[in-house]
Amino acid sequence: MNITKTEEGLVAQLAGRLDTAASVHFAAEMQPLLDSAKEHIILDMAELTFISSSGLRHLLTLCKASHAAGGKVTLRNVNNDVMQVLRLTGFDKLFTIVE
Amino acid sequence: MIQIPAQIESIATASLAVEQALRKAKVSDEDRMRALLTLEELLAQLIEHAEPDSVISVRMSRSLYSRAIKISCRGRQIDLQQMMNVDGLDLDAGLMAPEAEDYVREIILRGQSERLSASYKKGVNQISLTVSRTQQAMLINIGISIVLGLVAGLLTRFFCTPELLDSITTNCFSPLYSLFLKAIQMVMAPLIFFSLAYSLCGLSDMRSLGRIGGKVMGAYTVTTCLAMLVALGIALLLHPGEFGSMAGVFAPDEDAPVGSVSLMQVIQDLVPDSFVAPFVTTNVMQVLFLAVCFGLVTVNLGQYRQPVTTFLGSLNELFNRLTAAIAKFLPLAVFGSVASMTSTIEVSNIWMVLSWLGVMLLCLCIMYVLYGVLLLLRGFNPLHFYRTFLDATMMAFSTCASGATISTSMRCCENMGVLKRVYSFSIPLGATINMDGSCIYYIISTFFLANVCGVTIEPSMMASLFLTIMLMSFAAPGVPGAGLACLLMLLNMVGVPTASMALILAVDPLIDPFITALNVTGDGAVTTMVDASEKENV
Repeated sequence: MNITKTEEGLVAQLAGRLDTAASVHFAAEMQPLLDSAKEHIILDMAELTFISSSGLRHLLTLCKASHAAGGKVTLRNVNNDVMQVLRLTGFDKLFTIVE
Repeated sequence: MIQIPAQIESIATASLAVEQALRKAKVSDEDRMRALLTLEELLAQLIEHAEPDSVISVRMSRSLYSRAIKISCRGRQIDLQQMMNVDGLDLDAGLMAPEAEDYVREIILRGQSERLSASYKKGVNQISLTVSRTQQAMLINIGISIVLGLVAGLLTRFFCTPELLDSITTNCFSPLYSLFLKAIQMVMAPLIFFSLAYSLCGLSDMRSLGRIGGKVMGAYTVTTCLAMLVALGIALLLHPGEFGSMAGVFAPDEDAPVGSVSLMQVIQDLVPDSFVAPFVTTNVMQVLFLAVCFGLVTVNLGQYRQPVTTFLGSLNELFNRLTAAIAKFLPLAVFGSVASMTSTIEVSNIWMVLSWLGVMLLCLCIMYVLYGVLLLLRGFNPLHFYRTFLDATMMAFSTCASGATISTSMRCCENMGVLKRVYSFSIPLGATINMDGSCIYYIISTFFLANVCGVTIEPSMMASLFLTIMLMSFAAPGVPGAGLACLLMLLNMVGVPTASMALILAVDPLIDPFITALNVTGDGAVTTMVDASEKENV
């Protein structure tokens, strides 16, 4: 995961499959975002092809941390497949989703 | 079938193979992603319970009614119910509950409980995950009903004495479809009322969508009017059903309108004498009038708006489900109708019924051409549109459900380069209110049955028919059986015996895939046109 600081906030680019196998590494990669939970975090999902419950679990942790710290998490460039997963699980209601 | 080692790293291999197979099988995006999400959880569980060095087998299976993924692996027994247990979770708080992270898997699997089944035999866990239940199940059942009805009808026709034939038709075949039609008639007035009133409650939200909302609504209205004009023109030109008159065969309804009525009379009749009268007499215009009044007033109810909207929404859902439940008996009604027709009807009248199918298909084809012309006028290559949108059209044809095609239609629009802000609003809205194919069905069927029964539809009645169908296309819910309910109300309105509906009941489901395909293609065409207009504005 590539994280850059921009004027909008912290932009993290997710790519590939965020499944059970990948989420082991993702937990560690996500730590800088959790440390900056009070900021506006933008998860750019343009290159993300799939997300499983393990990935959703991490998103939920980030969402709650951000909520508690007074920050905000925005999902950007969510493709159709990942959007389906978010809708099916009700996660689409937790985040601001933009094009 | 594929086999993978029972290791976490192998899950992606199985998941990608299944994804490819589901894409190839043209499973809807929603079903595909739901299946992949659940598969991931199941594989993880199987791996957790697997014996060392064991292998997981994944294979696709397909029956007449469903498509499923079968997974098996040797190991300790899996408790599917335990995997869905959310006892420790505060369900009211939902995903924001403090302990929700620990329950994400359970929440996902719980939502799929109806699609999952597991067994444990000789040390092997076997899990079946239903991906999709074929939408053609009803069509298959109806096909079987038609064949059985034909056989039963022919047997009684050629091997029974006239007295026995009469007795079987009256006591066995006819009650099957007359009971069905009565049940549909029972729900049709509240079904239409709550559907339209509830839809209108959301109008203020639509207004806030501004320019795109206005353009989309305007374009849908134009294509709906075009579809109705095409159907009206063809009905008046070809007179479907006229060459095999069955006037007097079907008993007229007790409350059928008699003689011609002026336009002023139609307007005066719009307002009912009492609130319950339209429901008692199933007067479609009055039901629609009441629904419009209810819906528009509810929007301005202030603090009471939400509870009233919820009330209308709940009853709308209730009657939708009731109608869908009645529609499950359609194959039985079709059997009765086909058997009754085959045992008693003249061969020429069978041709007459088939001519209804022909006229319907002709109107639908004309609409495809008209969409092309409209797209051409907007500077869009219609061939490119039809090619790119083919996936959605075919999905609509095979599922007979506009709602199930929404995500595929959106993907097709995305492939055409349509702006997301246009298609994400226009496609779901079109699936609810844009029913060009259904409008054609209402007009052709009403004229066909009127001609068959020798009922003349006066010009003033045509005008109110036009308006009623327009409102119905907006209000008709997308549940099975709703189309039949709407048609019954129209027949009632123009004075055609509702019993005559039995004539087309047998072949009615055959035209449904064509109607849905046109409805969905119309949504795509309008979305593309509005997109072209939006891009011109930039």
